Amino acid sequence: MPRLTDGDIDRLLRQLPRSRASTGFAPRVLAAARPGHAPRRPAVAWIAAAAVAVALALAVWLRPPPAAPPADRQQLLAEQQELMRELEQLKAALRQPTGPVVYLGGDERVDLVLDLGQAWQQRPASRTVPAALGPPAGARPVTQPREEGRRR
Amino acid sequence: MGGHVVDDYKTASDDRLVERGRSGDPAAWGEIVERHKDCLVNYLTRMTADRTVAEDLAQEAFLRFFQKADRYRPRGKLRAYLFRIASNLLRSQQRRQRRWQLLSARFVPPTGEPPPPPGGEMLERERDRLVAAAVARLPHRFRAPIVLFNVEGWSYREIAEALGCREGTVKSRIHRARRLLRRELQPYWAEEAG
Repeated sequence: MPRLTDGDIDRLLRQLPRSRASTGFAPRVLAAARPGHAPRRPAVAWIAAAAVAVALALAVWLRPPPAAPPADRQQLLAEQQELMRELEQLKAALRQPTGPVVYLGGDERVDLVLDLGQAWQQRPASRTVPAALGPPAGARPVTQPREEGRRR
Repeated sequence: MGGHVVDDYKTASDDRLVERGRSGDPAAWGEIVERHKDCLVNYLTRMTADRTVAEDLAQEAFLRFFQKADRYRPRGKLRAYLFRIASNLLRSQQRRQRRWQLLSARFVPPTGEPPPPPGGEMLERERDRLVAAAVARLPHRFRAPIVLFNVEGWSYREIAEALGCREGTVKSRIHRARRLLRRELQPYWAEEAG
């Protein structure tokens, strides 16, 4: 495939037909430059701006008032608000520190439940280690103060 | 006698004509318009892809210059000065056009018609039409330097003065414009060669 080079592009651009100013361009410019000649574009611009402003004002003024929401929409809104309230309540309940609960049994009159959260809070402050889990009687403590002289 | 005066205008430098124009000589302004109108209209036609808009902008550029000719410092660079005014007007016009397109797109449904041919005139050759359309699609900052360099034949220094940037910027923008044009025109080029 032949590749288009910079030279080709330059040549294509140079070969473009030239546009010339139309006949009467210079007299038109000089006529517009005369001191008495009223500027055309600012007047047009002002008229256009005024027309747009009037149109916008009319559009705002004539716009029909917003229609009242229908009954079913109001009902949906109420339900949505109710759901949001419930969601907030659930979130608040989740934020409270509650532990898991173990259901131990019961019947229609009594439920036997072990609340692990409460059990954890009511645990004794100092924990005694059962003798079966403690260190043997003759065992030495794991950590001892280092004696600097023994290393050398 | 009259012929001598006309010759005098024809041979006078741009700066000399500006001096006469400032002192209230309309014929000096007329000579300035005659000298620079064609290249200004050609440049603006390539930039706007619309001959009518180009003539309006060129006229506006001359009028702005006449109104504020006192600001011009005679250093033999009137052409660059005029093109700078025209480029600023063009940028303002394109900004307005973009705003209007954004606004009108909300109210006027798109017609789906293709854009008008570049220059608003039927170019004789398909290749010229494609090249002109590709140039018209370039971003403004790349289009202006490549049109001034390749179409108008200006130097890098003149372009830098007219566009108010450095020569290095002009060179890099021309390079990038060429790259964009190559990408646009390569399919057509391959087709034509094949």
